Parts: sequence; C-alpha cells; structure tokens
Amino acid sequence: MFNFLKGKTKQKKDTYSKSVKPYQINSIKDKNTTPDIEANAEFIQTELGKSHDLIIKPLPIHDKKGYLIYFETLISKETIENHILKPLKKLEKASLVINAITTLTLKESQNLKEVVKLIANGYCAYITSDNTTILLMDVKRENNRNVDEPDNEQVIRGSHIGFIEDLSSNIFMIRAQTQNPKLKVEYIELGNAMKNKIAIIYIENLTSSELIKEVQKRIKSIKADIIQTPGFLQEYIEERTFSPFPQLLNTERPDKVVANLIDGRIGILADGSPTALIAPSPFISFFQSPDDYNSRVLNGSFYRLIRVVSFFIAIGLPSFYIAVVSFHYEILPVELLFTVKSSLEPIPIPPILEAIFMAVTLELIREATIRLPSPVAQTIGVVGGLVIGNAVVEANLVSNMMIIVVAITALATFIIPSTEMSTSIRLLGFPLMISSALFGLIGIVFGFSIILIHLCKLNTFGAPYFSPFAPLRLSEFKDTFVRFPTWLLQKRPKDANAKYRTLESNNPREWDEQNE
Amino acid sequence: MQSIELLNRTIQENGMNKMSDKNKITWWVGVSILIQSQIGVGILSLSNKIHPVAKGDGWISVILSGMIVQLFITIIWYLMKTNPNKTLFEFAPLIAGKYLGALINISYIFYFLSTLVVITLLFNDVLKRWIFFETPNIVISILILMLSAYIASESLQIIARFFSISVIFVILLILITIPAFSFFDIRYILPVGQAGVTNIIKATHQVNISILGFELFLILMPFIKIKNRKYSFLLVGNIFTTVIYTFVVFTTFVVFSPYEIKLIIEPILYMLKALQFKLLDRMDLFFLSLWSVSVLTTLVIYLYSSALGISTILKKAKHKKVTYLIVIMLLIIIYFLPKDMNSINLLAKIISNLSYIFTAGIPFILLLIASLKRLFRKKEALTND
Repeated sequence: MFNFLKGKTKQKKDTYSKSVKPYQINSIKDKNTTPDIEANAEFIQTELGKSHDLIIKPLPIHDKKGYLIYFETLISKETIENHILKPLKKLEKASLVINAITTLTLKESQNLKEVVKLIANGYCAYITSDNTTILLMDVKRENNRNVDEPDNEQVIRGSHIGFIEDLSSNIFMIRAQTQNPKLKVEYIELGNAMKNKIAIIYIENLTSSELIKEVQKRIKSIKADIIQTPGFLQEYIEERTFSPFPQLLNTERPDKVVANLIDGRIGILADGSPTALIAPSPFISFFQSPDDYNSRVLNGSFYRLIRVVSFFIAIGLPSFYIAVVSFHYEILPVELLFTVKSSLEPIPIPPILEAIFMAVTLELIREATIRLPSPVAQTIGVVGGLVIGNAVVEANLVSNMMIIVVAITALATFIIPSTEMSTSIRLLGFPLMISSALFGLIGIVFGFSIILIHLCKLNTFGAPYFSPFAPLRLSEFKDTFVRFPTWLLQKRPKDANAKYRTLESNNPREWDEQNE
Repeated sequence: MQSIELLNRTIQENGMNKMSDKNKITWWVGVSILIQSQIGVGILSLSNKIHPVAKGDGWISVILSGMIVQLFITIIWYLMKTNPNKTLFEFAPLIAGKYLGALINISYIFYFLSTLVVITLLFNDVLKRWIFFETPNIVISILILMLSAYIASESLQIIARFFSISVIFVILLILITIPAFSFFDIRYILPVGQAGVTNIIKATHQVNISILGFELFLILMPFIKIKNRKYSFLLVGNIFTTVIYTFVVFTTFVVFSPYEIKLIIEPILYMLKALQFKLLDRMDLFFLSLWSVSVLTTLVIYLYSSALGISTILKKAKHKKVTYLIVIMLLIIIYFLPKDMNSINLLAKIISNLSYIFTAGIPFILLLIASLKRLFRKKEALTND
C-alpha cells in the first residue's frame, strides 16, 4: 500500500537480501582456527576493528604461549582474576587448562567467527599455542551500580537506563546493547594539566572515513590544560561556538547513542561525565526523542508535530503578541480587540517591558528550582509561579494576556527534548521580542529570516545543519514533522554520509503479502 | 588549432579552480532561484499599471509576456551553452574582446546595482505607505540591505540552501490571496479581447519589467550541476512565475471593478485588507510580511551577482568584503536620492527601459558574435585541413 513511499529500489523482489554488509554482525569471515597462535590473535584483532578497549593479554602456561583476549569494557575484572588467572597460576603441569577454570559458562570452539561474536558478547577467549581449540569463558560484568534514568531526558516508553560517570561502564552499556563486533572504540588522552580519557565510538565499515578522520583531527588538535567534560570538548570541536544553536547533540541515554551509531554517526564520551556527544547532529535531531519510535506511529507523529508547533510558539508567540498589541492592533477583529484591550487598559508599561519582565522572572524561578533540593524547589515553584503571577496582575504591572502568553511560551520551550536546544530557543525569543517591538510584523519576519539564514549557514562536521529542509531532501522528511513507520525509514540520513545508506532488505514486512 | 584548444582548456580549468562552488546546485534550487528572482516588488502594483492599457485583458498580457520572457531566456540559455563553465563576467571579454568585454561587464554591474537601488526604494515606498508611516526611509533600507548582505556574502551553495526553503513564502503568498475569491465577479473582465491586440501587446512591457530577474542566469548558470543543467528548469521556473503573476492579476481584475483599479496603486493589498476572519483581520499585513521575504530574495540574488562581478573584475577569490562595501555604497546613494513618488517612478522607468538591453540586447549580440566566431573557426579549420 505504501510502496510508493519507500522510494525506488533497484533490486527486484528478492527479499531477505543475502548479501551481508561489512558492518553487520554476520559479516565476520567464517574461518577455523589455525595452529598458528599469532595468526589467530591477529584475525580476532582485525575482525574486532582494532578497538582500543580490546585487550590481548599474554598468559603463558608452562612455557607454552597463550593469549587472553577480551574487551575490558565488557568484562568483570574480578571474575577473570578469581576464576581464570588464579586457577591457571596454580595449574599443575599434567592437568588440562579446561579443568582448572571455574567460570560458570565455559565453551570450546574451533570457529573463529563464533569466537569473535562471543568476545563482543562479553566472553573472554583463551588461545594457547599447542591447541586449536579456543576456550571461551563468560565473564560479562554485572550491572552492579545502580543505573538511573537521566533526569533531563525521561521517556514514557523505552529503556530507563542512563550513562554514569565511569567511562568503561558507559562503553559497556553501548557494547552490551549493540553486541556488534564492528563497534570500535578509540581512546584519546587530552589535557596538559589534567589528563582525561576521551572515547570515540563508531561502527567500523559503516561510518564514513572522512567523518572519522575529521573528528579525530579536531579532537587531537585540542591544546588545553583541562578537558573535564564533553561540555569543554564541544566548544573546541564545533564549527561555530558563538552560534545560539548547539551543533553536537548531548545525551545521557545509551539507546539514543546506539541509534545514532547505527545511523553512521560518531559518539564521543569522556571519563567522569555521563554525557555523550553525537557528531554530526543536524537541527532536526534535537527534536527527536526515543519516545517517538517506541510509541505507535500516529502517536509518535502527533508528538513530533506538537514539538514543531512548540518550536514556533516558543520562538515567536511573545514577539507576535507584542507586534499585535503595540503595532498592528487592527489585526484583531473588534470582539477580540475588546477582550485584549480591557486586560491591557490598566497597565502603564509598554508590552515589550512586560514581556521581558515576565520572561526574566520565569528564568529566575527556573534557575532557582534547579539549585535547590527538590522539596524546596516545589515550594519555590508555587511561590514564584502562582504568587508572583497573581500578585503582579493584581498590582496592574503585567496584563493577564501577557501572563498567558509567557506561560504558554514557557511550556512550549520545555517540550523540546534537548535541554541545550530549548535554552537556545528561549534565548532567541528576546531579540525577536525587541525587533517586533521596533518593527512589528516586518520585524518578526526579518528576525525569522536572520535565524533561517543562520541555520542555512551552519554546518555540523561538514554536513549542512538545517538538512533536510535546506538543502531540501524530500525523502528525509519521513522522519521530521511526522514519523513514518520504522519499516519505511529504509534510508539513513544523508548528513552522516554513511557508507551504506539503505538498510536491510527490500521488504522488511516479509509476512505481509499485500504490502509487496 | 590544438594549442588554442589546450589554452581554452587550461583557462577553463583555472576558472573552475577559482570558483570552487561552481557546478554544485541542483535542478530544484535552480527553479527556486529563478522563481524568487522574478517575483519581487512588481507583484503589488502590476494590475494597476497594466489596466489603463490592456483593460480587462491584462491577464492575457501577462501570459504573453511570460512567452516573451521565455524567448529571452532561450537566448540566454544558448549563450550560456557556448561557455558552460564561465559566468558572463568571465566570458564577455573572451567573446567581445578585452575592452568591449570590460565595458559590458561594468555596464552589467551598474545595471544590477541600479536595480538594487530601485527595488530598495520601491520596497521602502510601499512599507512607508502601509506600515511605517513615520520611520525614516534609511532605517528600512539599512535593515533589508544588511540582511541581504548577511546571506549574499556567502557562497552560492549556502544561498541556494536558503532559496530552496524560502520558496515556501511564495507559495504562502498565493495561498493567502485565495479567500479573496469570495468577492469574485467575472463580468469585470468580460468581454475578453475588449482592449484589442495592440493594447494587449503594449501592456506586456509593464509585465516584462516586473518579471525581470531571469537575466541573472547569465551569471548563475555555471553554478548549476552539469547533469541538472537542463532547459526544463528555466521553463518550469518561468511557467511557475507566469502562472503566479497571471493568478494575481486575474484575481484583482475580477475582484475590483475597472474604475476601482485605476484609483488603487496596490490592488492586491486593498483586496486582502477587506477580508475578515473570526480570529484575524488585515490579511494585507501578513501578505506584506511574506512579500518582504520575496523582495529580500530578489535583493540577495542581485547583490550576489553584482558582488561576484566586481570581485571577478578585481580578480578576488572571495566576495564577502565586496558585498558589504556595495551595501554601504548603496545606502549612501539611497540616503541622498530624492524619495518622492515621482522621482522613484522616473528612476524605475529609466532602469526598466534600459533593462531590455541587458536582458535581451547584449545577450543576443554576444550569442551572435560567439556563433559567428565558431562558424569562422570551423571554416578556418576546414581550409587548414
């Protein structure tokens, strides 16, 4: 039925396309172990993309060469120490290694593909020079630390897990979710006075190599005494620091990072901070939330639309109101004019000052509630919101209409899923208010044009920031104002320039004959 | 012969290197640039201007004018084909010789700059009569020209991004006028053909000068991707513009009686002013706001072309500083120009009459010279063989 929306597909009906792309989990070469231990280790290492968190630890036993291979971000050190290292140290010459190891799950394999897959799954492989069989021990770490949902990015449906301050735990969360051996982690140490470990994460063979090089180049070129959090990093690597719009998405949600990695983007994590940066992040990605994809199509689309509307309300409603009441009151029909005028009548100050006064008050309340413990914060909210709002109207300082306008605007800004974007938009409201107070509707149009031009000018890691709107990419509109069903979102967004743009097979709903 | 070809090729390659953003714009952006450079200040007062000549048949003049413009566009299209990788400023000296070419370039730059001045003055004039009764002219000029410089100083790729999205404003502009059909009276334009063929043709002059902007493709053509550089985008863009103009003229003709149209300078605004909705009145204010974006886009593309011309003549790789210098110069000129209706109209009349030279005259002559040259070269090659 919706076939025409999927765009042209060159291949014919042959569904479940057999070709496996090199970034997919099944892309590992099928190969059996050879007697050459070095070759085996080399094979595993290359298939795992030479990720920096892959550890190949020499562990000789009785003059025989041996390697312990594992992802340090996936395993539990204690388990390895207690159940592998200790028994192997005490091993007598005659007995077998396999009998000594005391982990619960223990496998043997001669297939390197299986080995690679299991290592990506949290296993630890042990290869010895005299044996073509590789021992595989399940040493995956438990999530012993309580992982909470990030307070600033809550969702109704979806995983309620958030990053924590420990880098390897964060990488563990990403690795555990993807289980893709091609997920590559690169560590870079930064800071001259205070060292901090930065991790660049991407999926090898999928993410564009120019993008990887660009990110590496920018991060490596940083010369600073201190890079404490991604916030510091962001300012060093984004194109335009003075732009009001954030050019890197900040998120504390592993599921968001994973979804972006699969889209061919790069995640940047820093030790000591629960925030991940996503590069490149076009404008629209700040309006997308995991909730959209977890709820039903119509609901998800509806909330997308609400967010787009909220963007326009947040940025334009106060200025439009100011333009109308102070410039073009003739826009209002007579009946409506009476209502507005009666509320405006007793107010001595001009609307622009009213608006700025209320907006600043709102910011004060917001900032005050963040700093205080939550029970007190609620009190402040009540005192600030209700009492001040009520009193200010009764004192005839601010009109009722203005309170309504500012309150709706405030609500609209809080709808936007990204805190950075929501703050930026609130900030942009002020110059627009001033321009509308000066030039009315024309002022708003000019203000919007400046914002639009600025958005067109911006780039994020070489990709146009305002895509798919400018440059116009109609096929990518499927995931903007509305969200199409996921099986229709067959193409990766062009901004990341992934090596493979189309996903999976031609007909993802194979069972549904009518669709074909 | 071979050495000349080699020379040509090296010149071409050098040209390509200098203007790195050539050959990058898609079909759709080409269409939107054409539409938005054509729709500008003229749309407001067009009906008022053609009605005295063509009476109720003005809308036929618009269609006719669209065809004439298509003819001009075709000339430009063939001219641009002779030097596919060069702008007018680069190939004029090659075709017409060093000195004549330089003269052509400078006169084009002057033409663009004076068009900029006229557009800004007319824009000011409309805003002054409709919204800003007290605001000094120069303030509005500074606003709109600085805003256009803000984007015109970027590469055409970024301008193209802006244009591909600002087409929406043109479409909104038309959508706003649709409710006006509630005052529809077809008798105002009947009988069709009342003005006579000569008058209908005479009236096309007024339309031609409002529909200007296609001549910018003398400069912009090489920036369009070779595989997308098809005649179709010029055709589609021009048809779109013509349809919009016809729609606007037709609407105002059937809404206002012939006597009313004579008195009203901007019929479309008066038409919208009369509309009333439950929640909003004065649609003309919204129309003016959207229309100012259309004016902005026209200014941007003229400004970009003139800045590109000046930087080509001065052999500068970047046109950013030139753009801002042009704007400052224009502002000074605008500040000292008289701003009453009559002098603006006089200036507009001079520029618009001159425009035929630049939109059709010079391109045609250049095309003629270029094709004659090619013919001679072929003959020469034949005799040499």
